[in-house]
Amino acid sequence: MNRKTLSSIATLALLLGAFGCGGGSGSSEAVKTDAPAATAVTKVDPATAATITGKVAFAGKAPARNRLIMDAEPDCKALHSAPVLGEEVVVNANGTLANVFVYVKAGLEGKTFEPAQGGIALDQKGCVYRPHVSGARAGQLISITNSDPTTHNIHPMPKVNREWNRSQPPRGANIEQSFPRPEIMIPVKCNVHPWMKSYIGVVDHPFFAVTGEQGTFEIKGLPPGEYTIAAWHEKYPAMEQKVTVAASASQAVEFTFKGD
Amino acid sequence: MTNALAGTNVWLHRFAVFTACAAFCLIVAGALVTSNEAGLAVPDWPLSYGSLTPPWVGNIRYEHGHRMVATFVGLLTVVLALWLWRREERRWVRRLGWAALGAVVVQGLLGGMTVLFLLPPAVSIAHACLAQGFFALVVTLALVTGPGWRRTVKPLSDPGASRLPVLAMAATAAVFAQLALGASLRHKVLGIAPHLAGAAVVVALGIYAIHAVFSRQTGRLRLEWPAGLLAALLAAQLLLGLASYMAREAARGASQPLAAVVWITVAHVAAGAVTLAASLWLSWEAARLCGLASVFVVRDYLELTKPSVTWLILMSAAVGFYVGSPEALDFGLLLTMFGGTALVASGTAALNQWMERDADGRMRRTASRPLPGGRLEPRRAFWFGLGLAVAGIASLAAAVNLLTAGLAAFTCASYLFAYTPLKSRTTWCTLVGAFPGAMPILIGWTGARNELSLAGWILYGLLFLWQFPHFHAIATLYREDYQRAGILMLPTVDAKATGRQIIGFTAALVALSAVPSLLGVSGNVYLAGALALGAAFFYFGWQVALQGTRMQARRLLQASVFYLPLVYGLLVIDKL
Repeated sequence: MNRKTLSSIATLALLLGAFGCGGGSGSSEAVKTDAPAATAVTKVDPATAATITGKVAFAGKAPARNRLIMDAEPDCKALHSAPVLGEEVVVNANGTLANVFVYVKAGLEGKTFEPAQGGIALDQKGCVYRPHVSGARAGQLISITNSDPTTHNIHPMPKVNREWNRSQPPRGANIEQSFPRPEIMIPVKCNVHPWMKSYIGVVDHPFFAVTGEQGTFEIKGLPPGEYTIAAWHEKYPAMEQKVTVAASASQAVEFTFKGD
Repeated sequence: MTNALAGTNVWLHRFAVFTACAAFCLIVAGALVTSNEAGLAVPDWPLSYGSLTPPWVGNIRYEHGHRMVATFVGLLTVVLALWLWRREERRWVRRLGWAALGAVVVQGLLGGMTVLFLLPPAVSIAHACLAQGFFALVVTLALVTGPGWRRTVKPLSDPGASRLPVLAMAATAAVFAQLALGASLRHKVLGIAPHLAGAAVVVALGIYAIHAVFSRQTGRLRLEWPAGLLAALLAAQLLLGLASYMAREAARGASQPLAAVVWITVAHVAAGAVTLAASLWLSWEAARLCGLASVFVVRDYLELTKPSVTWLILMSAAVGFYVGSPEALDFGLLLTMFGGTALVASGTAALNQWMERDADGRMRRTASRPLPGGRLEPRRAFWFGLGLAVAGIASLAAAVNLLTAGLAAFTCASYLFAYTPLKSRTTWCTLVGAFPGAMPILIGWTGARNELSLAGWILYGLLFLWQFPHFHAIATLYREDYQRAGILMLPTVDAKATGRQIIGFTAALVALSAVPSLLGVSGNVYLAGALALGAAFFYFGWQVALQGTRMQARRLLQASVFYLPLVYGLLVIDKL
């Protein structure tokens, strides 16, 4: 009898513990995000600020893009006259790779920068996320719009930030959220329309870019110094390079992702 | 004939069958939610988009459809339980009705938790397993309320018949375990290897049971239907399993769940539920025709593993694993650690009872255990225990790490070869026994970290010291019993020394319980709580040392039973 009591109490204590911790990690988030504001902001002198420019090339045969099947949702299907293609790997006409998140991974330790002016936008249009890959500062507002005639839910799946899941009715009010901690990358998913995916890179400085139709990127206003530049893509392993930039210089960097 | 069927209520039976069919549809609906990745298409619960009629688009249809079917099945179960309560004269069947109702309520809450906590794998897997458990309950109700069940049957009494129930039940248990492994694969906690191994076990046990039915000369009619169904389903499941694996591989890199993969996987899950129902049906029929003698043997084997002690050991190991986990909890590793530890603990318990079968026979508390009670042959108990222990150590070594396997082997060996023989020779046995006794928490720790650091040893020390007041209290309480068996516990020979040890070890325990906070492993909430609990625990120990009555010993035992889980709970809550 005593053993039974003991084991049931042990189970109860454990369950309580598990829930207690679930709540605990959420509350500590707020405390940690306040910390950077206290330290002095690093001013970048425009006279010596450097720039990193470059492109992300793609080697090998570009994989065929999936056709998104929107049959389950006529409201989505009706928004498109042409087939909609998946954006897992988008190789541009000029042989470059789109949707690569390029950012300064190391070299800025201990520096704090001016908070971002304004927020970034994430739109749900034609039952796809626009843009597919984006970057944000830690704490920067992300304004989420539903331009579709259907209901979406927005479900970011971070590991270090807090996970959440909210619905947004057709042309409903914008949802404004931010992620307080740097995290590469936060997948965002719509569970109503399981083909809808987006990725947000969150960094605690303004030095990042996403490659587009030209496959190029530009990181401006960087203090001269030695940096590790990283390039992230949703399908291929991430890459990085060490780069030294002199005052007022423009340094070119090229990444090449290899297909299968 | 009419007399035998007097108690049968045809409509009640039909309603139970209908509920079972609805529960099957619910499993299909739930499988569709998982396969379509629709689990979070409705972010709120219990309402959907704040209403009972959410927008009927995309994956919301799967998620809300599942909720509607679930509500319907819940209502059916309420009616079924009430109907049984009013009209069923067999108490155990009425109780099964209440159990089904309890299961469906818990299942609903688990479903809500998957939504509100954003699909934690542990909750999703529990939801998938309880779904099958609930289904098994209503299938059982549908069977035992039927007219066929009430018809008197001629029991089979040939030697071959006696093992049928246990074979069928083993197959059923294996099917259920396989469904759990499948759910763990689906929710990405375990890989495919455990599910493949499970398939081999299910097929082996299934064929064994089916063969036992069809190789009979007489009286197999009632068994042939479920056995034949089970055979067909096993074959179908192997094919569906292979097909779903191949479909998944072919769809690798797809942008969304593809219809072919969804339907093959859902069919595999649904056929799994029917396989469970078929083997359950076979088990019930076999139990009815052949009696439950062989099942009592299973109960005896189970008792040999001391499930409550094994459960306690797993809880200690879970605390060690949780506190030791560097960052996020590796749920798959936790499960493998649990499996291996449970096997070693069960095997050790069985071997211990095998060694102590004579002494156990002399104590009132233990005289009715399977070995002293003469219900199990010692030789079988020995091989059973050895098999479990070896399998446990091997699986820890293969799937967790060598350090953990080594600690488990050391625990098993020191318990059996140091503590057990010393019990009848010296009162120091409590001290010797405390070393393996505290090991589970360290096994959990090394399971998570694969190293032994100071914090791990502190956890170990807490459990080590706690055992002295705990076991001295038990031995004071059962003093006469232990004397009769010739087991030398300190309270049976020296009450004064017992009091001194209780005070000394409890004081050391309270002091050590402060160390995790001093080292920065835990925070001030833990420290304050541990010291307060320690002070209370010490008070009860002090009372025993002063007077040593049975009443005070009982209080101390109760205090010890509360103290440890609460301190562990605080440690888990206030882990830094």
